Amino acid sequence: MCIFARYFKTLISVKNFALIGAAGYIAPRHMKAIKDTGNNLCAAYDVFDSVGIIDSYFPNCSFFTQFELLERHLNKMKHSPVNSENGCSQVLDYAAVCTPNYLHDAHIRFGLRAGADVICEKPLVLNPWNIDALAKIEQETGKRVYNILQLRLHDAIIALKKRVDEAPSDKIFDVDLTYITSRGNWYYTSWKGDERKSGGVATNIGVHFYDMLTWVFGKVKKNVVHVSSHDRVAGFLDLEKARVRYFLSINEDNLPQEAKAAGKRTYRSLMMEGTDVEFSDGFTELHTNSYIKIMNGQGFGLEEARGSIEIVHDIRYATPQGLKGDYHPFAALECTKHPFGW
Amino acid sequence: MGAAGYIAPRHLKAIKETGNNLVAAVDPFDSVGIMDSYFPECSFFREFELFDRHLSKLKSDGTGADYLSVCSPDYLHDAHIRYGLKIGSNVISEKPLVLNPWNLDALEKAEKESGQRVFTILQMRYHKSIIDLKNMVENGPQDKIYNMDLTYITSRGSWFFTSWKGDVRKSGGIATNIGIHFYDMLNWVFGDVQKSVVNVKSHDRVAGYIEFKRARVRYFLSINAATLPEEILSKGQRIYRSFNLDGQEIEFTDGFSDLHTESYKKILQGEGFGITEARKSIQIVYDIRNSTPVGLKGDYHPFAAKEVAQHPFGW
Repeated sequence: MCIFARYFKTLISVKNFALIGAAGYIAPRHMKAIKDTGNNLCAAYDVFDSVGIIDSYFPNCSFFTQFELLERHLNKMKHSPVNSENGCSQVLDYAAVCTPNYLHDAHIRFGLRAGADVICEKPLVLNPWNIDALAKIEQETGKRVYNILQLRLHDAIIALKKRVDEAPSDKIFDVDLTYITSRGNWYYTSWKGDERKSGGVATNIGVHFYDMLTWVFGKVKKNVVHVSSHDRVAGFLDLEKARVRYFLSINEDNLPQEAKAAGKRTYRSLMMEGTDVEFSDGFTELHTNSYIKIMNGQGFGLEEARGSIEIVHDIRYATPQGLKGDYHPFAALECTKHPFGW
Repeated sequence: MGAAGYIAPRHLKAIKETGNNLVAAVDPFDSVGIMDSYFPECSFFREFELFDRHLSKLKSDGTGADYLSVCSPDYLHDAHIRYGLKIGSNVISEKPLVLNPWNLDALEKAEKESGQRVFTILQMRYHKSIIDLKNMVENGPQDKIYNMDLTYITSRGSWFFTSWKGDVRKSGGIATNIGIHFYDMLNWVFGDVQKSVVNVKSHDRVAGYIEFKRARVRYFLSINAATLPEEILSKGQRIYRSFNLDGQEIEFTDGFSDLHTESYKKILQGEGFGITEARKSIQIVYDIRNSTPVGLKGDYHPFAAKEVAQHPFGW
C-alpha cells in the first residue's frame, strides 16, 4: 500500500477546505477525510450550532451560522495574509458540501464561484438539467465538481464489476437488490421526508445503489416503477448486462422475518443469479478513500454523476404501474399510510 | 425538548434504560436520526407549537406525558421547565437548571400551582470518587479545613463563540456552562460558601477562590487550549482535569457514562434532586458571573496568572 506516499504528496501542499453543512449526520466523515488526507478545514457553516465535533478535527476552524458571514470570511481570506491560528492561506482550494439535498446545487455553485473545487455528497443534484447548468459554471470558473460515489470504491463492488466485465459479452445477469433501512417518524418531520427537498426514497437512500448498478452493469435500457410511496420504491431496471429488480424501503414492517427476529433494523441484500454478493462491511474508510482519489485527480465528476441522477429523476416522476411484469417479490408487501396522514 | 443537541442521546438512553417511553420530541434542527436507535415511533417536531399541540392532544386523551426532559440551550431551560409544569408533567432538566437564583423562586411557585415537580441532573453526586470524598470529609475530624485546587480545562475551538455557548446571556459564561456541576459537587462535599472571590474572568476562563465550610478551594476553569499544562499539550490531549486535595490527586476521570441513567433511576424512585438542591450552585455561578474580578490578589489558583487571550472575534 502506498498510503504514506500519498500522504506525503498531500502534506507538501496542504489544501484549504470549507465545509457547508457542518452539523449534519454525514459531516464528521468529511471532517475525518479532510484530516486523514492531511488537509486543513478553514471555515465551516451550518444553520445549527451543535458542532462540538469540530474540536475532534479542526478546533481552529472558523464556524458560522449565517451564510453571508461565511461568504464574507471566504472573501476576506483572499486578501489576507496566512492565518497564524489555523494556517489557512489566501486560497480556498475545496468546498465540501453535505447539506440537505435540495441545497446541493446552490452550495456547489457558491463553491465554484468562490474559486474552489467542490466535493459534494450524493445525490449531487436532484435533476439532470441541474448538471448541465453546473457544467457551464465549471467552464466559467475553471473549477471542478466532484461527487462522493463511494460504492465504486468498495472492494466487494470492484470485485463484482470485474466478474461482470470478464463474463461473456452477451451474458445478462439476473439481479435482485433489496435495501431496507428503517426510519422512525422523525424522518417525515425532517427534510428527508419531503420529496421536494430530498427527492424521495429512491433519491435519498438509493442513488448510490443506482450508480453502482449502472457502473457495474452498464446503461439503462428500460426503467419501470412498480410501487412508489412515501416509504418505499420497487421497480425494474433493464441494464445492458443485467435485469435488476429492486426494492428500497425505510419502513421496518418490510424487513424480512429473520432480520426482525434478530432485532435488526437494516437489511441489505444483493442477489446475483441466486447467490448473495456480500457487501455489508467495509464502508468506514470510503469517504477518506474518495478524498484521496479526488486529490490524485481521479475523482468522479459531473458526467459520472449523470447516470444515477437521471435514473432517480425518472423514478421520481414515473407513474407506478403496479404489480405487473417482473417485479421484486417485496413489491407485493402491504402498503402503509403516511404516518402524518399525508 | 432539544433532541438534536449534544447531550440529547444520554437522555434518550436514560429513558430507554429505565424502561420508559418517549412519545414526543422537539428541536428546531432536524438531524435526529439518533432517535432510530432508541425510539423510532416517537413523534418529532421542529416547531414548538406543533409539539405543544401534540402533547395537549395526548393530555386530553388521558395519555399526557408523565415527564418532560429538557436539554435545550441554557437560557431556554426556564421557559421549557415552566411549559412542562403547565401541561401537567414532571420536568427533568439539564444543568444549569436556570441562570439566576430568582428564576428558582418563580419555578417553586409554578411547581406549587401545577402540583408537579422539577428535577435537575447533578450527576457528579452519583460519581463513586465524589461519594467517597464526601464520606471521607464527613467521617474525618470535623474541624479539619481542606485545601483544594480544582483545574478543569476543556479546549473548545472557535465554533464555541459562534454557538449559543459563547454568549454569556445564553449560556451564563464559563463558570455556568462548563463549571456548574463542579460548584454543586464542592458545595455538596464541603458545605456552604463563606466567601467567594473571582480573580480572573473572561470569555474563555474563570479563576477564583471559594471558602466553603470545610475547604478552601482555588479553581481554574478554561476552554482555551493555550492554558493547558505543557505535559498535556505535548501529548496532544485537549482536556485536563485535576482535583488536588491537600497535595493529593483525586482520580475521577472515568465513570461518567452511566450517570444520566442513574439520575433518571433516582428521579423515578422519588429521590431526584429538585429546586432546593439546585439552588446553591445556581447562586454560586450567578455571583461569579456578576462579580468584578480582583485580579491576582490573595490566594489565587496558579493558572490564574496565565497570559490572557483576546476574544477570537475581537469582542
